[in-house]
Amino acid sequence: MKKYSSLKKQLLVITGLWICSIPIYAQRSIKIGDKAPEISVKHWLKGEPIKNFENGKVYVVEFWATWCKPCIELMPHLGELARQYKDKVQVIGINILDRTPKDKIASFVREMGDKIDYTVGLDDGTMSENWFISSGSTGIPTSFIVDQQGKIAWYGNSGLDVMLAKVLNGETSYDLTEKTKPGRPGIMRYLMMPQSEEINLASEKLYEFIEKKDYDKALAYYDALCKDSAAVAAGVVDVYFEALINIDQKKSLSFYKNLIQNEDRWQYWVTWIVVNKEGLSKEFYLHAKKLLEPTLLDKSWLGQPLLREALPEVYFRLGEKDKAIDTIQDWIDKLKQLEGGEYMLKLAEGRLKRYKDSKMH
Amino acid sequence: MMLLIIALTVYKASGQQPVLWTASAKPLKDNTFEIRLIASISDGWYIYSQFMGNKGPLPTSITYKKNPSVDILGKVEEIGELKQKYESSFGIDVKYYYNKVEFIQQVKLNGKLPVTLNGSVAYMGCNAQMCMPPQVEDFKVVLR
Repeated sequence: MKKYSSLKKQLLVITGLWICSIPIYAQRSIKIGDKAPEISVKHWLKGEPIKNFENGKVYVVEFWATWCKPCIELMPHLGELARQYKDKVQVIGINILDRTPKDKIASFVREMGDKIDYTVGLDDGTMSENWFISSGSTGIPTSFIVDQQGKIAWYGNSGLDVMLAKVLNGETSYDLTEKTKPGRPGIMRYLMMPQSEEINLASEKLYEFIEKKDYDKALAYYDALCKDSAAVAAGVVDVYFEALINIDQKKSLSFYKNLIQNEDRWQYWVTWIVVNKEGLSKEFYLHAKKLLEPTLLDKSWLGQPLLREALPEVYFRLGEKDKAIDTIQDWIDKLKQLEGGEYMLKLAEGRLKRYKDSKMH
Repeated sequence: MMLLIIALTVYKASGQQPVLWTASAKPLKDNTFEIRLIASISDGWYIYSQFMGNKGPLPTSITYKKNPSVDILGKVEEIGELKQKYESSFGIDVKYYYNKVEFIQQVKLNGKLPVTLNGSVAYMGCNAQMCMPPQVEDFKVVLR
């Protein structure tokens, strides 16, 4: 799961900085009309194993998991389709993203009996990535129809029956202009997640060093983590940054730039650290500004109240006093209308006072 | 505090992102803080409670990273309109929430403010037609 594109690797080398902590998510993407990715199964749990797609035959590749109620409910109907188109269509159920042990999944399939009347296999980890995530699918059950030429004719959550009939009648016309959808980092995050206990320990260790101002030790510890497990290191990027910014501004600036370029999941929190740190070079705040201005238009962002304070602070540090006052005032106005906002209001008003009292023009 | 967060979390029902998480910290007395993690769930979707067995769907689970300046007090409490029913697809009782559920954790500060507390939430959401695969989102709150 530790994947780095060579291009990114090169870029990081060029900037003189190796960030071990930025995993590159789901690089590939597939769309309707593309050649279907391979069938790559760890174990076949039911029916005849399928090695590849035969010319002239249509396949339904159905992704499911034992935690998914709608998937389980759909199974009898897939069996009906398999029987209805017996000689023309092969239905394959692929279990993905399931942490249930293999033998439990096998006994689940056995217990379902006739309700699963088609071939079933267990993903070896590549199909969830190459089919499900690469297609930008967000939920299961998701069905793919592979046509007589081995191309993806359709995929989706509803409308399988209609589309299957069309494909069998040769009625599909592929819209090759359809844009590919990117994979979802959140799902990959689940697949890649190391035991959170490891991250806990790493984070605790780093905080200990920072408290004692042993920044060099913190950096050395992080470097060692990078070599051992990039995924664990990725979980403590923010803590590492807190240590780095205290001893090496130049290095932390390129680290920060890379976080933003790669849309690392810690970019906003690292920004919060940047914004509240005195005496940084102007470049830090310019990057923060570029990140925060558009972000604040997206109201869905987690932990957003902090960013509402962060942007005015960035303006203030860049000497844009009027903008700082405007944006914090806007936040104060919102807080005043809300029940229970008193505590946040106090903090925001403190910032406003500081901006107004400053001699900056 | 609760109203504040909800009013800020403007969202539309969306297949892409049916659950949105918001985290905040509020000081109580005696160096104690309350961390509130709120799941805002799109119409028709639900997420599972923390308190279910290992079989079937993934229960929601919240972990806080250890931080020497903060003691975690007790367990994560959940507040919402809990639904519970026997689910024959899984052979277990499932517990789940529509619309909104809050996960509340009390912590005690034993160092200096401000302190940043890190955590992650693992969860899965479903509606009548589909389920999102279990995923993990990181969050942070600043005690200040």
